[in-house]
Amino acid sequence: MESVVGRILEGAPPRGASLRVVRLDGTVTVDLADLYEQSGRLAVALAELGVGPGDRIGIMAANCVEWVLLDLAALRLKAVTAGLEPGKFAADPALLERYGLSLLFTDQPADGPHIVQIRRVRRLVESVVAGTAPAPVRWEPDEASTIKFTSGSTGEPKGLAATVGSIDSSLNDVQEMFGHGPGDDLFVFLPLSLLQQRYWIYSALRHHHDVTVSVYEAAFYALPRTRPTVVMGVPGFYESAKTHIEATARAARKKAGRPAGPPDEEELRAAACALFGERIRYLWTGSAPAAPPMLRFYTGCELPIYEGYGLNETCIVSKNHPGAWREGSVGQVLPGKKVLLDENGVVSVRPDYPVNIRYEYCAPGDSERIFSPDGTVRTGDLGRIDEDGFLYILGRADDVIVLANGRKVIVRPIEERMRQSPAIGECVVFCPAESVLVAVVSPAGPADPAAIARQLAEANAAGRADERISRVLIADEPFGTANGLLSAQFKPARKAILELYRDRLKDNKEGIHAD
Amino acid sequence: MPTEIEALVLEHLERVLPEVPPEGIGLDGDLVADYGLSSLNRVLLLTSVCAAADVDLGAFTAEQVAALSTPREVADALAGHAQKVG
Repeated sequence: MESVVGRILEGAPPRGASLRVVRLDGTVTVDLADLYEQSGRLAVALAELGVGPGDRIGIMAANCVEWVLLDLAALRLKAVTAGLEPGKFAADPALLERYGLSLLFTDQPADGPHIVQIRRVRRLVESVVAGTAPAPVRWEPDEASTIKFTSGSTGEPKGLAATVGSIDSSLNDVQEMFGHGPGDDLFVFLPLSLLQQRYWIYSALRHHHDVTVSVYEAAFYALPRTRPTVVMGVPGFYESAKTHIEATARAARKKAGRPAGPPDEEELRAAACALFGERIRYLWTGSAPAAPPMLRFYTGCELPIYEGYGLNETCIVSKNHPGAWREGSVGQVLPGKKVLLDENGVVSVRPDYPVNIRYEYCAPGDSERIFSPDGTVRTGDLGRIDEDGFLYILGRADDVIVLANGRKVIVRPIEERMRQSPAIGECVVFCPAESVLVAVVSPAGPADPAAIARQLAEANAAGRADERISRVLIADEPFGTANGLLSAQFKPARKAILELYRDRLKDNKEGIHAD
Repeated sequence: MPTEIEALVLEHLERVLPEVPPEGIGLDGDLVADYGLSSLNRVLLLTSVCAAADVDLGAFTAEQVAALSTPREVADALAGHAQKVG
């Protein structure tokens, strides 16, 4: 297997491809050859500050060029990065102590020994003579270059050191499927603290394509201006964009004086093109299940969208792609991964190059619950594989409810039926009593109890008798990242939602009742 | 009567809330709590209103964008930067 990281560290890429960072406070463009050269000078400056192989550098900042430089400089020193999402951690000395950080770079107001404002990175680069570089290093596949943290769950985040072999393996498999190269521009807006978002920078350095990094506040501003060929998103992002595209197309239809009615495909395509730019080759989605109507919407707009599957603990496991795509599936399993299904359909993944075989930071017993000694990961997801090797994820094993009659109910399809209504943004189903299903609904707009009641009746009519939802609670405030009811990847945080609505879920008088 | 820019904000908000009658949408409703906009849809609303009002979204900081919670606050923020409306 080629080491992508190893190839990157062999020397500067040819000139011509760029990293562009688009934020509300401005746009910075740097040729990848210059980026590489600057990362070498930063590595030398960090070494002068005492950072060496195995030392840990924490980075807690919104996406910026300095984030990328620090990540590359750490690779060039064989130092280990810890990507820390602002808002989830506090930039204080206790953080350095807890994670054994030699330095913490941050854009947050913070003060203390070994805490450095990330804007100082520029001065560190400039403090070293141009062209200076550290001695070459070599990473072995089982060595970890970064610590990633699970996001979106309640409680203390789990920390997982990711091996270079797992990064190389996934990047090689992705390249085989999508053939990123000169002319491509990959658009990234999720936090760089999520390791997979940095993959696309590594890919740019290895395969000589452009990469645009933004932040979520500027993502929709940046897209039509930067005209990427690939967007690296998550379902919540594409759902929001769909709402906007439909609204724009309706307005354009009205303005053009066309007959009243829903926008046609051409009108939707024009609105989608205005939002994403006209160069899109494909849209990438992962990290959470995507609703089939959303996927069909983009396909109808001639924007191919490819869903995949993976966890922090496994890296990318499967992916639909132009050469092998099947609706409803999360694609065929990557060559570097093996998917094992137990007698209940619970998915385990055995990677050729495991991310790791244990968590670096977790509660007692967490590692043993997830990892086998050989690196096999018990995902807790339910799946099946069809005769052509396409993987289908049916839900979480934890979300399987065993009713009093012994029947097993998987909640995800029930939730998806509820989400078919434009009045419903998110739906999470719980079982507060042994054979009663109760849903908590986050409205897609102002709460419309009548529309939600109609959808409840439709969903119950479409499902089996034991999939019947008895009551629906309308959330007091929409699920969001700010209130902790959506994860950073815009997935409903089930545990937090359950905690918040536990009493009302049990109270039979609460909510909209099914007929 | 809403100002021209307030009307523009309301018009764009009405577009993303087709199920809601226009009289149900006001300048002082909370974009997230009352109108159910996701954080990304709130950004999209601001992006599209800025484009219509010929205001560069780059005139705002990320912190300012995060703090805008009602249509009136969006309109007030835009009013200082607007060159034209429509």
